[in-house]
Amino acid sequence: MQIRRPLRPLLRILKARSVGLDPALVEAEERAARLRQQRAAEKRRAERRIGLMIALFGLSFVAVGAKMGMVAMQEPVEPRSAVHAPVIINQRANIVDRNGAILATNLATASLYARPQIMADPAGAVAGLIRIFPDLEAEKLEKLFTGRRTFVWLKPKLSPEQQQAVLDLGEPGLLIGPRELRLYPNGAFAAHILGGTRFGDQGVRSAELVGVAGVELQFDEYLRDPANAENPLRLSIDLTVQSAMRQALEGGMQLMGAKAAMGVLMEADTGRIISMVSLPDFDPNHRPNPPVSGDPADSPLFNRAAQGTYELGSTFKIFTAAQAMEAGVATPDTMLNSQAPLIWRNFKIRDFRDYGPRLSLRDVIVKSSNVGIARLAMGMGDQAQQDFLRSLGLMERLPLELPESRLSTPILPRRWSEISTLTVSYGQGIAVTPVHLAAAYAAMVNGGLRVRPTLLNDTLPPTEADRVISESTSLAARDMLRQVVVRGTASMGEVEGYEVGGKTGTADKPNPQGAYYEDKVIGTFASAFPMSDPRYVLVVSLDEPEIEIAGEARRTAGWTAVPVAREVIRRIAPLLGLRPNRNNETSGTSIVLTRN
Amino acid sequence: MKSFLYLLAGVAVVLAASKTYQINYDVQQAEMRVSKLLRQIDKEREAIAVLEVEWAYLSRPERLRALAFTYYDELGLDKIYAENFGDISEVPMPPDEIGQAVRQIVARMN
Repeated sequence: MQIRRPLRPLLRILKARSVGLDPALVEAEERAARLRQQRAAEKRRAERRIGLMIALFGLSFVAVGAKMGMVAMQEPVEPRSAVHAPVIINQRANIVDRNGAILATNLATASLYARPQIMADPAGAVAGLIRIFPDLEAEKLEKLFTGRRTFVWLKPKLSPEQQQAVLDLGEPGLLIGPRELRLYPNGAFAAHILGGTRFGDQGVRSAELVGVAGVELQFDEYLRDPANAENPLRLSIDLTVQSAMRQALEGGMQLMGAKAAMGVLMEADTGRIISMVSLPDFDPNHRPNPPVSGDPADSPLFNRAAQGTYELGSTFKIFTAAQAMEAGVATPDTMLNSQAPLIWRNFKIRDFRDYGPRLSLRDVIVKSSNVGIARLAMGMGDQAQQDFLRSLGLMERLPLELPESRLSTPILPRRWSEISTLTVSYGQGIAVTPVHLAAAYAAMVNGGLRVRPTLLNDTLPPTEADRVISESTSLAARDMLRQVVVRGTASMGEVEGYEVGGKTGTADKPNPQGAYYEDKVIGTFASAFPMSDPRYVLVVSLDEPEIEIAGEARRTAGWTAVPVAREVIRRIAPLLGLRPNRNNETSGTSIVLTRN
Repeated sequence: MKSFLYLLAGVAVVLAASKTYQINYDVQQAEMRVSKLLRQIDKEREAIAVLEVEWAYLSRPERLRALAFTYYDELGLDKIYAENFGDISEVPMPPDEIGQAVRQIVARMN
């Protein structure tokens, strides 16, 4: 800040006055000086502002120029409102066993399609494809590639090697689309339970997987729901037990020369199926096509355990015995007339051998006397028999979570006559699935509660409302079944430490003429273990077994199904974590074999 | 005084502008990183799925059984049967108090 100079400084005025000059001149001089000073300041300010403006404009131009340069040099980027969503890989939910081991999952793969219109060298493409896929036909391909079609599916699944080989052909008209493949890492081992899948609607970018059988079809909606992609479907199956049972059954089937074998292992208290095997089976990864000729029941696709209905023979006797005990008609010690043969009109019922005139109910079961049990059933009447079998679920469709089991209604006598009552009492004339039988046996041994067979791991156990027989009847039935193994027809079924109990059944197979084959049977062993507190029910059935022992062809269940079941129990009981009971009662020694 | 305020405002504008630009670029970079990570996660997921399948395939009981059979001499792995279950009473116990105590507990468990 400048000190403001006065226009009439006193010193200069006095000096001018003393020399006689006009003081106004001094004032004018001072005013002029002040004015000059002011102008100079104004000029400086204006210059500064102009400079500033120039600098600002210059800077702006530089900034704009720099930005333009940057924009010109940079790669253009699409503006995005959001980051991209992750691709869901597992479109179809996994299927796992009770312990979480994978039974079915998905794998990314590729499918091959062609667009003949943009093909550069159709002939070369055909030659190349034939080299990679020997199963394709050259003429067909040529016709496809030179015809009018604009789009051709060639292969639904490519291995990574094949994919690379196709890409190496360098043909622009051959294109690869991503695919999801349903994979069953364990192969054939639970084929009938899992079923299989096929491609549904398919597009270039993806294809829908649709269940065609088994739980894949039953729970198709659940498995396809994207909300469940992370929630696998948990089955009651146990991977290791299923595998061990399948192996034991396979070996048994070969040894016994059987046409087919089936096995069902069920928790006695809940009806949960731990293992279900039907042999022969197939690989669900390459599900075969349904047979076009012959009996569909002979196809490997046929689920014998849950779909096939068979007359299961003497295994039914325990139901008649339980019915009698429940009704108070008999106790295990009641003596029954076992005089054979039993003649009813023109029908004659025989026993495998003659057991004498009288047997206790317990021994009728142990020795498997048709005559004794038939007389008992006749005494109670057909209506009571039907009611009892119905209460066990043996007269209705299997309530299992398999689409196939919906087709398996038990085959009952068309007219439930008195002769039906006689034959049904020992399991002829009524055909049910092995799963039916297992569920009914579970009710026999678990204290009397009817269970509903299930493949899921989270179903509710039965309650008192499901009671079909009393605790005491169940206890008596358990004792009888145990005695069958200790000293009866199933003496080969004893597994030390596991207190096996069960009932054999050798049923004649019906022939297409409506009668029965002479030498074709179905051998069944329906069992439970450990008998002191039954936890598991096992049903093993062999179709047309025959084994030569001691120079004689043996077909009865005691020689066929029982040893196979024994091997199954020996293998799986330790896998189930069951400790052997070392201080049990003595096991039976005498081998008594009977027919039926 | 006025010019000082102008100056201050000018500086504030410049600072705000540069900060905005910086945030803008940071966001772009972060987005790029996110999408890269998501791609990576996709890939990892696919890899996990493949590995899970491979694990299930390699540890399928049938294969393990075959391997246990092939390498029986080295591994000595066999099927479990009832005979393979032991009992605690079969384990030798030291004769001192600790052994006594353990024996008592075992006896009570039975």
